[in-house]
Amino acid sequence: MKLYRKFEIYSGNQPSATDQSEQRTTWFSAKNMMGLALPIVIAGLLTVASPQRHVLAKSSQGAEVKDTVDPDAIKALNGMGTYLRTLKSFEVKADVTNDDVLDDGEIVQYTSKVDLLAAKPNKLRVEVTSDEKHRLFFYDGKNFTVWGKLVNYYATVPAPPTIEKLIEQADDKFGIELPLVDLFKWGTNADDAKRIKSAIDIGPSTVDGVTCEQYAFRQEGVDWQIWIQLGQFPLPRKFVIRSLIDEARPQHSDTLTWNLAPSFDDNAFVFDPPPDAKRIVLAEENDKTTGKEK
Amino acid sequence: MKRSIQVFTILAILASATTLSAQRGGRVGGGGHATRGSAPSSVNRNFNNNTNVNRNTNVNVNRNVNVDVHNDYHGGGGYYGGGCCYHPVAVAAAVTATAVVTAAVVGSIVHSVPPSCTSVIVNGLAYQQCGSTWYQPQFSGGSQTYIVVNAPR
Repeated sequence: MKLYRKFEIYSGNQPSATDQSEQRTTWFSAKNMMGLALPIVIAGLLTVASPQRHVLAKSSQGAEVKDTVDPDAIKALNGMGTYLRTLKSFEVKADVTNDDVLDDGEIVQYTSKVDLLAAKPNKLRVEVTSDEKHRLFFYDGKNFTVWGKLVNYYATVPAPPTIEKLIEQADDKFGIELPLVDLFKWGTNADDAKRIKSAIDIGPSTVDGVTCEQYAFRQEGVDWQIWIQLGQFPLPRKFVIRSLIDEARPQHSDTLTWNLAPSFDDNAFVFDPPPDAKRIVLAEENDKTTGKEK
Repeated sequence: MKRSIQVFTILAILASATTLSAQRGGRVGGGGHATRGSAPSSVNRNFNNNTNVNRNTNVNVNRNVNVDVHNDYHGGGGYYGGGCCYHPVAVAAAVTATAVVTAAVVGSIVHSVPPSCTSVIVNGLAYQQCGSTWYQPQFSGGSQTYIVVNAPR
């Protein structure tokens, strides 16, 4: 019923309907006439609908509706972070899904695969394979190279001294979001956990045959979930991030396979350009105030 | 006379509309559709300032329309409709369609270059020379694009 009431507000010049069938007629004819009003009506409906949903959630949980932070969930997250910090080298492969939001709000999902080899503190090699790209990133502690294998272009720039700083620089300076960067951030900054406004232990859940504990968190701008392996190796096996900033709420997910004893030598992190590869430049992030490309 | 004014007006509207939509910040996504954003891949970033989520949309105004992000896979070919390859900046496209020829503007960015270009190496860096226009390939964020530059030699 709210639908009709809402609609009448935006179609003030329509004669007011007296029974439901007439209302229906009004709705459809006006729908044809007033294409512009429709999104507004839908937006109105959404705003009407969301408090109701909230109420439902409230009643299903009983009287307590405040965001709750389960200390055990935070403890598990911190335990995982601490454990990740003990790893000297590892290889992790990820199946990734990522949502793009089209201009009209429609969600389109893309998938990719990541193969990441890290030797802390200053060596990293990442391979990203998607439908349209095949990128390799090399970091040997001195240089950072991006190689587009399909276009066979590469770009090399001097790099900062640690993986953590490299991740920062790639993002801030070059607009390159290296994948799985959270693996290097969890457990490094105790303040990160303070951003969490809600933490729930969902319960045991299996990822690729491995028993994990699933947790759900809420913080500014994102809802996220993580599946942490149970037992003495508390590794993240899966995580899912949903943006709350875009109303379409695009989601990203990573499902991980770990190798804690990878074999490699230092050459794995050094880019040796194939003879036909051509060197190009790595553009610095746009100057946001002028929109000019540096 | 009246007619030409009409045409000009339409063009002007087209151009301004294109610019407006570009300023709204659509990039061209994997399928050749304009996108306004993407899901974040990290929870350990600051989401308060929106920069992360909008990272993919802060593209140059000049490269929003008819560009092709499939360079890697399709070798710069037109993957979606519209034939192959050369997608100059939107506003320029509207102007060029009326035979008011403009040269590619230095600093403008495209996702692919005309088919007749020649690959040239200058000082160890790759360029695409297309007549008097020089394109410098670059990695820009997650994309590989071409920026129009002054002749490097």
